[in-house]
Amino acid sequence: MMEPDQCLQYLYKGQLLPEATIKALCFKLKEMLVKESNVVYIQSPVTVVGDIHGQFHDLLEIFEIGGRVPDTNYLFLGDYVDRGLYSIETILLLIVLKLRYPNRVHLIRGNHESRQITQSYGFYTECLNKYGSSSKVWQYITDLFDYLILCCVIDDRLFCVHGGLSPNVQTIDQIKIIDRFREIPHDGAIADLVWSDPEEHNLMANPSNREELYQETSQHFQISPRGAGYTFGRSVVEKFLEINGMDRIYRAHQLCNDGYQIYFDGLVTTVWSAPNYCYRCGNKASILELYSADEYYFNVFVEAPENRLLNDQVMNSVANRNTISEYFSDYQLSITNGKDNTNDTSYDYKEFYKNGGNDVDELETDLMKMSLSTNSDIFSDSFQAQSARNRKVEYFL
Amino acid sequence: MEKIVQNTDHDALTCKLSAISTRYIPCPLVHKDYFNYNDIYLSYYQTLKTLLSRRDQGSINRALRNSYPVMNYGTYLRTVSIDSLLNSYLDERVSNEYIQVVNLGCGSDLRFVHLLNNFKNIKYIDVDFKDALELKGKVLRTNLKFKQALKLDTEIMDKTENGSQLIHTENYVMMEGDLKDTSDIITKLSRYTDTNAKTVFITECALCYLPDIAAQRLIDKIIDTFDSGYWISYDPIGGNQEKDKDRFGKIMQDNLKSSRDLELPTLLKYFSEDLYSSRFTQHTNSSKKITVNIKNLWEFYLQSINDNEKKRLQKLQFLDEIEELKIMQSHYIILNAQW
Repeated sequence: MMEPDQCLQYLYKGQLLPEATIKALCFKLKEMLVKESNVVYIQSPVTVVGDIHGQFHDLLEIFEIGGRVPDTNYLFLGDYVDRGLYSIETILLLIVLKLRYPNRVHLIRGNHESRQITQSYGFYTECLNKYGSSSKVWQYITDLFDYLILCCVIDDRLFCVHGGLSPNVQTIDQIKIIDRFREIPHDGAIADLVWSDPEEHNLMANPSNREELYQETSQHFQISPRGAGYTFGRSVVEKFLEINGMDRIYRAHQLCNDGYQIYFDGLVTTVWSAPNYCYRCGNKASILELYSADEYYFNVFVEAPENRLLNDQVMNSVANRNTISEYFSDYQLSITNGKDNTNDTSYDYKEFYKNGGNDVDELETDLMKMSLSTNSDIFSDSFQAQSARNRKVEYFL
Repeated sequence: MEKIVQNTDHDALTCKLSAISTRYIPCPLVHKDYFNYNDIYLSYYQTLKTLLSRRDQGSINRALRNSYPVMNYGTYLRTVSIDSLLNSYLDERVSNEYIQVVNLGCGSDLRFVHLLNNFKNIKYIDVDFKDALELKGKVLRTNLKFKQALKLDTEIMDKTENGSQLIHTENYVMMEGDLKDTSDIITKLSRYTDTNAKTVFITECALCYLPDIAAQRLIDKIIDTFDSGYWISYDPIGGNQEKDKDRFGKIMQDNLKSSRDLELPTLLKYFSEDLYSSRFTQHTNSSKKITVNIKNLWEFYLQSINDNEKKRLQKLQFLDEIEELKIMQSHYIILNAQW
């Protein structure tokens, strides 16, 4: 069984872990999380991160700009998987970071941390594609999702949840007594906490008339257009904050063009951390750096330059590469003197990966063979286009 | 480039089949008189599969399995917006007066089947590259249902087209041509249509693949040549990069270029509704008065889809994020221009 640090070495490079390792990691994390309350209390400084949705490059970018774990404390608000192409790499990295630094990393459950949703929005398919149809990786991870906490309180003043408030929950104590260790139900408190949205102002309202604006949002919860959870207006928020002695609510769940969105004069804020969502929305993302309850900064960023490390399937089977330049220099050497020998099926891959050693056989994939045999120049446009083709961004054509 | 553009029909067909299989379309309002809608498309698809390579079959099958709600909504809006404009125009005509419908860059579109069935005294012309029409013709000829629907036994055989699969009956004509070759298109259209009669022109993701000058020439020449016309156009627009910092168009262009070498020459030039409209209102060489209406498909969704229909759509699939739907649909327009 691999140690967390060893796992991190692979994971930071975007490499997948063997299924047996994933099984063990999920088991260990469930052991840890079962002892955590539905509501976890933490202290600033902490950096709050919104939806990531399998955009692994951008998660690495977050660690670049926000600081690496454990130098920076992180609170993740959920939605780690689905939509992006690297949900597995994303969730595995977060799982191991939580195991390795349990007090530096907190993972809240989002509405996508669910068996039902992940079957339609990509995570299930990704597991099939990367681990095969007989694998249980999706099962292990979605079982683990049942154990994720529901919300967090920072400095006893800031309430953090994935979606929003629930008509079934007036006090935070009520959240504590929920049995969370289950699939997200269709309705009820858990569903609301991960699905609800703040009510948007009527876009036709006159912004200079404060009175009108204030009255625009409802006194009560309204049915959500999403089909799950509710929408809640300013007065609902004020009531909740007052009863529970909280100042503000931080949540995620909704795409924000600018990376974050402030409602009700700052009572509720959405943090969104998946830039250029689905590789086509062109939105910015942000992470919220909280130095103290009253000092904070929205660190806004755009999508990370696509790291060839992940698009190049060949790299996924390299066990101990440290730097890209090392890899390239060896690769160049193997393309012998202008002669393309990559169609030679007896090519000795072990020789190719000098430091690869034992892991090569295990992790070798058809894609790797294909990329070696079709195009030897990985800087060429056609190779890049090949990788880009894998992204399959959909439009109406 | 031709092949690459023609391949976009695969996407369109797959999206349509996906929206049908998940029951977004037919729309109970707009398509209420379109009998056997599902049957017609599925039937076409079954026959088409037998004629396609394994690889193409596979890619269509795969796409059908992964039908994202946001894509199905978009396909629904695309189809319904065009069909509702078409229906309205045809419904308004006086006592069954003769009307022609020309689908420029038709691909595998099958709306002619319903139109010819529901409206009398209509002539429908499908225009596309020869290859595309040959394949379509083959499917229609092979499939008994279409043969009967089109009354292919009454076909007017053009002697120069012996051996070809292109169909030519009294009220349905497959006209092969390249939309970039304006004079050829106009010549052929003049042969198969009456330029004095009211004519509907449909461009559904067709103008977007043409170079600016060619597209403008096509618009200008058609408006010049046809006395009385009605143009329905559906296309993407890039969004205002400068003013709104809207990067959608640029990203779309990059994605399509890098993933399939597909170019959209006018996406970032006519990036707003106003600019796109101007291609019709400011066409040169004509004193004809043109009225243009345009909206983006998100506006269409908000304004033209009633609450009941919205509820019906909501029940079909779980659409998690409305924000994404809004962003995408705000970058597609539906235009109608009348002269």
